[in-house]
Amino acid sequence: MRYFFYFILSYLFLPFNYIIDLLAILVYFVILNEDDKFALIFSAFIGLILDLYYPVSLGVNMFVLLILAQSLVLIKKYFVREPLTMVFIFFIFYLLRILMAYIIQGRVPAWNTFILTIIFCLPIIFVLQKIFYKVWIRS
Amino acid sequence: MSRIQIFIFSALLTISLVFILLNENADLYLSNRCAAVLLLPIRIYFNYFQYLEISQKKIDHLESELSRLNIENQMFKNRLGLLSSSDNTLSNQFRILKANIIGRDPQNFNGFLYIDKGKNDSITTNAPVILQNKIVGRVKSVFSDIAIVETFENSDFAISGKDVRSGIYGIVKKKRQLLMEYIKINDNVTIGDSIYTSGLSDIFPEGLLIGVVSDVREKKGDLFFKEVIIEPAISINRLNYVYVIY
Repeated sequence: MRYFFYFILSYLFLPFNYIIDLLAILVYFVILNEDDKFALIFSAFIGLILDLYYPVSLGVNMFVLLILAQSLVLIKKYFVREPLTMVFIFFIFYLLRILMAYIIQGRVPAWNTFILTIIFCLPIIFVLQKIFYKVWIRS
Repeated sequence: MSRIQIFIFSALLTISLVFILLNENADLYLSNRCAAVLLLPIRIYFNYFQYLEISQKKIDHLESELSRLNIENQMFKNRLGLLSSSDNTLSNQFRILKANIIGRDPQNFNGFLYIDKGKNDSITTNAPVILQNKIVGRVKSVFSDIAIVETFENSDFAISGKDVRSGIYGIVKKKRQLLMEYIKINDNVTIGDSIYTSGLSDIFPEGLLIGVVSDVREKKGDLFFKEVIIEPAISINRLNYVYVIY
């Protein structure tokens, strides 16, 4: 049921993703909290719908999100679930996602979106945790 | 990392690389096919909002039409003698445009309204502003995309009114309250009478409701006229849209 909600959320977030990259936050949340296999499939799916909805080059977002998701899956057991660490890891994750995606496409990154996404990352993660796990912070 | 996970990762990675390495035509074809399936919920979602937007436009149009018909209806009633007979030529050539109120004059909150229609929408100075068949005011100044409306709540605003029941004319003007002036001591104006625009104006058509007489008092020291207080038909401070006749 939770997985189904993730897909619904991804469709709800998609049209507004150019303002705040809510999908990147959602992917990060799923990677941290859900099964690794689902996290990989979900990341690829989000990448694909991003490629289709904001069409520049098919497969780029899918590729980048998949690589980053796999990397996060490998290292997530080594870091503590604490707000500052989560923001820091997300910052790195999102910076790499932006740089890789934009470098491959040869475009200038949208820094406004980047800053807003970093600012809103933690509150959104808290809200998602409250919705899906009934707690603000999971340790 | 389990074998299944490695398999999923490799499969998805291969798919994404295939997508990246496709030539332009295949890329376009595949994008269209995938988008038709994967973005279907988004399309439904946007179609629904588009439907709401179109419905809103239809509602606006029908409301404008209703206002126009209300005024026409009032004019026809006047002709049938519900008001005293007048020889004014009935005109149904006017058009009505809905305008949203986007601001108010902070110095005179109810006296002036800013609306989101202007010269570009064919609005001109002095165009009457109404809501349903009730008077709001007139266009005082027009700019390209906005206009300023002077309402009956402004103290400089005056309009020729007529008591429907008795057929007595007067000038409606805002002082401390909305008053109908030049009503003689022995004129038969009583509480509850409806006051409509008289049509004795180049600006306002006949038959727009101004308000209802709420009190009739004798003026101290005035031998000729009495004070007729009118309760306005609409509250200016509650308005969020109006109609402009042009």
